[in-house]
Amino acid sequence: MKQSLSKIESAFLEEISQVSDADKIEEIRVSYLGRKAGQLTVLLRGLKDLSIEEKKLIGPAANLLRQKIESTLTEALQKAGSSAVPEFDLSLPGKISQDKSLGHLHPITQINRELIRIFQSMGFQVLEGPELDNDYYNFEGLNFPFDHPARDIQDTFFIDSKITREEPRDFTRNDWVMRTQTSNMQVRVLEQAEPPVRCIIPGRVFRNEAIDATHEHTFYQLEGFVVDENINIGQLVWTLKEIFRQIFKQEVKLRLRPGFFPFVEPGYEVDMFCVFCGGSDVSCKVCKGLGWVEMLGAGMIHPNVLAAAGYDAGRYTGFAFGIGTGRLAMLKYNIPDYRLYMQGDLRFLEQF
Amino acid sequence: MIYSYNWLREYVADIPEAKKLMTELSLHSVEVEEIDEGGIELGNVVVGELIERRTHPNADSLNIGIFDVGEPEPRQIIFGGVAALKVGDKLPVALAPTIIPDEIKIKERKLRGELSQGMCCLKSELGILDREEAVHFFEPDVINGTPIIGVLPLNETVIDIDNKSMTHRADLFCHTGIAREISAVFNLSLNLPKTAPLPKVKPTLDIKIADTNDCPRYIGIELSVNLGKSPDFISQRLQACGVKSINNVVDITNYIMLEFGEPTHAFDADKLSGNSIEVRRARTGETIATLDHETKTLTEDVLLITNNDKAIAVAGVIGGTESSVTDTTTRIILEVANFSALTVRRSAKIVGLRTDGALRWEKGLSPELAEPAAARAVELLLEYAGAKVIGLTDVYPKKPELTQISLSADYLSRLSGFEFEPKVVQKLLTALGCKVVTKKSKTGKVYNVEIPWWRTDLVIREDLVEEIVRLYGVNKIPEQQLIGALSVPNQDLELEIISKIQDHLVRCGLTETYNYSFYGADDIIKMGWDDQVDHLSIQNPLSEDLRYLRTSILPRLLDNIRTNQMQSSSIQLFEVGHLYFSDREVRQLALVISGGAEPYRVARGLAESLLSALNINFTTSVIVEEASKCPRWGMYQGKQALRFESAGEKLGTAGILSAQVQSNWDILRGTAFVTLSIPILAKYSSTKRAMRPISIFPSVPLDLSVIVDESVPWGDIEAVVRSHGSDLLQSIEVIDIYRGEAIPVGKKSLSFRVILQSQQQTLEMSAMEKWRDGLVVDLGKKLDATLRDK
Repeated sequence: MKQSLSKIESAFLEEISQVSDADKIEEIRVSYLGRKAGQLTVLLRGLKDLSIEEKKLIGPAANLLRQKIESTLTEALQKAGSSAVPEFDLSLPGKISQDKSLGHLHPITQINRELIRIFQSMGFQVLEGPELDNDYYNFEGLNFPFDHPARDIQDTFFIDSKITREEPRDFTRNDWVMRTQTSNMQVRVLEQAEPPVRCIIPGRVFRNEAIDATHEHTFYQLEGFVVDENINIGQLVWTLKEIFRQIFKQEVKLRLRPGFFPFVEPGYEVDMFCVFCGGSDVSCKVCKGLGWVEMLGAGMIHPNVLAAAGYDAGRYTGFAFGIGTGRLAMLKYNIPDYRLYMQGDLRFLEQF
Repeated sequence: MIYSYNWLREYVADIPEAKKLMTELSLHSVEVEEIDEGGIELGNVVVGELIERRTHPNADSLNIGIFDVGEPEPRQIIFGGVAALKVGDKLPVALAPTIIPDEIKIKERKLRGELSQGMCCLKSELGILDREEAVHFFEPDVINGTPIIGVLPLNETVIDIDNKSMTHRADLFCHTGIAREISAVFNLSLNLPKTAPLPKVKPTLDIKIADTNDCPRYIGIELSVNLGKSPDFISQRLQACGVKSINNVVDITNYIMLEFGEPTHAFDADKLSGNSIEVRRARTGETIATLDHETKTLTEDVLLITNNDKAIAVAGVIGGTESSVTDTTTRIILEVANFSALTVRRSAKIVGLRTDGALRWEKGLSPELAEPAAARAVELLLEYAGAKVIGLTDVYPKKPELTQISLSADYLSRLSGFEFEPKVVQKLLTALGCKVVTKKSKTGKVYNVEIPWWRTDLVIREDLVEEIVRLYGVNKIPEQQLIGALSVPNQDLELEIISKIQDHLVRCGLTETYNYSFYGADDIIKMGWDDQVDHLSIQNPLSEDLRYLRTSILPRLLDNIRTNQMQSSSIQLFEVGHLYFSDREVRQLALVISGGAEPYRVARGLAESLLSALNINFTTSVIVEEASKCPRWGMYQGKQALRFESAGEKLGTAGILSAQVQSNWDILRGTAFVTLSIPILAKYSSTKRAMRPISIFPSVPLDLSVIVDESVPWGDIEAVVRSHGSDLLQSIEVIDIYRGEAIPVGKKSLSFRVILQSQQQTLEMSAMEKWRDGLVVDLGKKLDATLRDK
């Protein structure tokens, strides 16, 4: 049987090499693939009388030959300039070969990956940290003393169960909270590391506040900090500018305004000049034509935080910043409502 | 806080126009949220004088007035009886046709047969001032026909500054404070009110302070007063700042707070017994009736002002009702004191009030502020409340020393990244009220800075760096490349594993979700779990369905299936997130497959392909309830689970969602799930990979169908095939499970395919047949299986 296959093949190749006329080519097609008496058709028909094992051996080879003959014929017809070539239509919509659709990464995963890629290329370590943390790391070590009004700004979820985790240090109080900021990792990282430190912490944070289109009780931040012997404000600005230039793939303008965060001194709010409308369109959803868009909070790490991490006073300086990644993705992907992130609605998720 | 622009102009004559003020203050100091320039559209409303009046012939309640409105001819206007008008009164008159606030159109028309060419306007109708149902009368010298917008302080510009942006700046919660800031930012001259020194009179009060940490200073001033209306400038300024005018004495205490930032309080002296004032902590259970018409029960955290041991005010927060100033008050004790930030903050929390006073105290005010505030209050009371000072008692045990900070020029440039000229530093800090002495030391210049008493927030040298940089302009600091030793940090292995998981599952058609870390007791019950008590809980949840911290990602994934199942006939989701336990926090992967053919096999296949992709050496086994105690068996169909393990350690499980739990969540289609522990995956994910040699000899597929008892699981068949295996067996795969025609009841037919291949030679038909026949015998012997075909 195998032998007949190779015989058919060589005979076909011989014949087809000698013709260039469309009618002749058609004749050859009929002689090999014709439904009634084509040589290969007849052979394929005979397969059914073979044992299963033989079928398995011959079947694939026969089919391969059939495909080869077909494509050789098509090529020959094209060379012959025949109009008999089957029509094709490039404008037909694409489709995915499997019967199932492709999956989708959550947009926050996507924006995080983009940021992580940029920061890693600048030598930053990526960590995530605990989401349920002791008051010390979330507040006290970050220069929010107990009973300090600054704590009011961050409506906090408190845990009323007893927590018995093994931790690298003793705590003033065994009070635990859902972290209100990814800054909870500053002291955690710094007390274990010796500068230079470059680190980012993308992650979820929690605030006890009513939700609406721009507020969620569960939302996403990316904390970053750099500590070394001579880190200054000018470097903070340069670093942030590089990040946003990479994210938006264009030059960006940033400006700093004084802002109060207990764990930095000096502290700043950072605005970016609208990359969508250039501040010229009052209907711009991002800046409403005002130009400057609030992007993040930043500053020079407060000496009390460096002290909490166990560093000698004045030895190191550092900067820290916190980007609202959920908000950034809203800007970048034109998402109108923060709540969409957490609703598990496939009509939303499948767009990413 | 709201500030009046005109009021500020009194202190900073050259105050910039509103827009510039807003931008520059936001860039150098605090965040200006809004500047409201008033902008009330009043239409054609002018000063009109009633020159003749008579009653309306057809309506007793209406009057006909002839008004001089500055036009050649007077106008006839019908008016009602809300306000009594007499000839000679000058008041706001809307001239028809015009439109006044609230889109009210004023037209010429006949009222009960008499022509009316306009309207007499009440304050409320103009939407101005205190919006009373009363008429504003103008002085006789105001010219008739003058648009009232020009003669009333209507379009008062107010500046709204975000309190959050000055949380740390106690000194800015008043007009003099923000004026001082504006003068520093814009380099303008400042003209603050000059106060006379405190009057030299004898002390008349017996003031005791239990703990001077709570109350470093207490000035009590006894005055006789004539209660009455406040002068216009005071009531208008209060109104502009959103404070209601009450009477001259109360208004002056509020005015002092808006002007100097010092909250003060006036007691009716005749309602106190004797002259004793004691500042002490409350006793647990002690009560006080406060001005908000409530009775508060107190704890030892609350600081009180007491008279003969009776609480008369919660210090710094709110006064008591009994001692409050009323219309009949003729003698007051004016309290101008100083309370500690922490004490007031705790008191305010316990009485549940964050008054304007408490808001200022909790930022931390200097006891030095009491003196100018008291002097100014006395000055205003003497002038506008006919007051006479009877006595003044100032208890001030310890005047705090001024803060001294030394900042080296080197540290300033190191932290800021900019070399400031010494004279620039000198100038900027001096503008804030600091005294700067520049000294030379071995390591360079050092600025020794004396901090003015009102800047309680300036404590460390970094605070000074902030002041210098912001006044200079942080945006003028040149950008500088981040430099330093290049290091390649170790990246978190779990995060890398998560990234691989996400990519693998998305490639396999699953969609990633993010769900809340919380769920409610109802969700735990719906899962069929018996371990609600093991959950950590939130003390102050937003709602009951967000009380417990998740110990599995599954509940919310099941809810995602429910909400999405009408859109699509099969749903495939996954999530990676944290689970929270008392002793640890771990990450979990959960995936769910709902609908489609054989969701369990799809879920398991995904898990296995994922484990292979992570290069984890794993085994699977079916476990049953009896063998493993767990409070969560309720969610597994038939209380059976597939366990994935590596080196004897559990990686996770797969299962079919039990019918009960499926129905609890209103899920329409059969659903299967897998959960895997990320740290354990990370532990066993191997970085070592060795390629297996690829045989140069062809592989041969071999299909077999066997009939076995329903009770025989596939795993048993596979075990027999594998044990029969030898080196030839490359892989084994289930093709079909069939029940029905031609298969006896109680039995099933399983078709599977094995791939045979030798590393040494091309398999001969006879070898294959021998292998197959042996297998059939084995299956027959061990599982009572028979070959289905032929």
